[in-house]
Amino acid sequence: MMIAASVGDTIVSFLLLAGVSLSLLAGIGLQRFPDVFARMHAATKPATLGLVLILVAAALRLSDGGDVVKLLVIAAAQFITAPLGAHMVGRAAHRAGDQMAPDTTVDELARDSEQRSGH
Amino acid sequence: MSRVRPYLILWLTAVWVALWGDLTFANVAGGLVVATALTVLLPAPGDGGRSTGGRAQVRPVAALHFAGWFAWKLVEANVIVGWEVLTPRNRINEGVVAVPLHGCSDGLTSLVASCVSLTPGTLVLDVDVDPLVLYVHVLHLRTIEEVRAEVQALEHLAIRAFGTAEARASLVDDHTRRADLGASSSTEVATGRDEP
Repeated sequence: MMIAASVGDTIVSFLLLAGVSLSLLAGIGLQRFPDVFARMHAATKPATLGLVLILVAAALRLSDGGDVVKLLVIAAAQFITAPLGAHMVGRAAHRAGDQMAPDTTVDELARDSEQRSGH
Repeated sequence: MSRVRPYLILWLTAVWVALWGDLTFANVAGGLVVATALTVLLPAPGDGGRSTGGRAQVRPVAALHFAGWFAWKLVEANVIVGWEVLTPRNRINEGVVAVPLHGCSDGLTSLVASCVSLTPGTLVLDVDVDPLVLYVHVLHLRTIEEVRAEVQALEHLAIRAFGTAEARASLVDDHTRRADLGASSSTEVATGRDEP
């Protein structure tokens, strides 16, 4: 019984620490990446998995099934909204002609937009 | 105009009950009232969307394949972006790549675009319909063909898992046609869009 409890604690601690680290990485990435688009990468991916890991840790510690279902709804909302938000910010930035990092190699969106407006 | 959609109402009711946390008569009744009011007062813009004909269906094995592939890509995405954040040297090589897609229903396109935005170093910036093209921002661009192949593979997995029978059939046609074209098909994809 004692061993089972400590194994459970270890798993929950690991999930919490991993989730928190990923959220921290997302924050540092926002600060360090060179332009809006790269920052959106940092804001969507680690933040989503980080939140999911924290939610799994919380679900393992909760005994009430209703609360676990609430956590599932939170996870679903994050999976639906994070990519949408990043998409809208990225699209707006690109249309507004936001500066891309100087080492950007190709931009086929700018090329195709020019072609369309040229018609 | 505001067509009543029973599945949407059921789904919203399920979310409502989940948020309350208890399966009681009052919660289900309240959820049904709120869900009906929401769908009637605020109809989803997707009501007039394109349909590829036939009912969309879920194939369990293909859906698991899709979910497993996506879960793996999500973990991989985090390792890559995390590594990029922590290493001092900047190896980022950004680019925006146009990825022509096979074409599928609006709902499936949204699913593919969302998954692309959550997987390694790719982010959908814009979507062009007719022909369907995703503009994908890439953090580590190696070759344009590699990005196209990966996103197209994801779309094929999604169509196999959730697409209509018709969409799947057209996918098979596409595969045989590509096999006939052989090695020349990849270069055709790469240069085809340069013509006005």
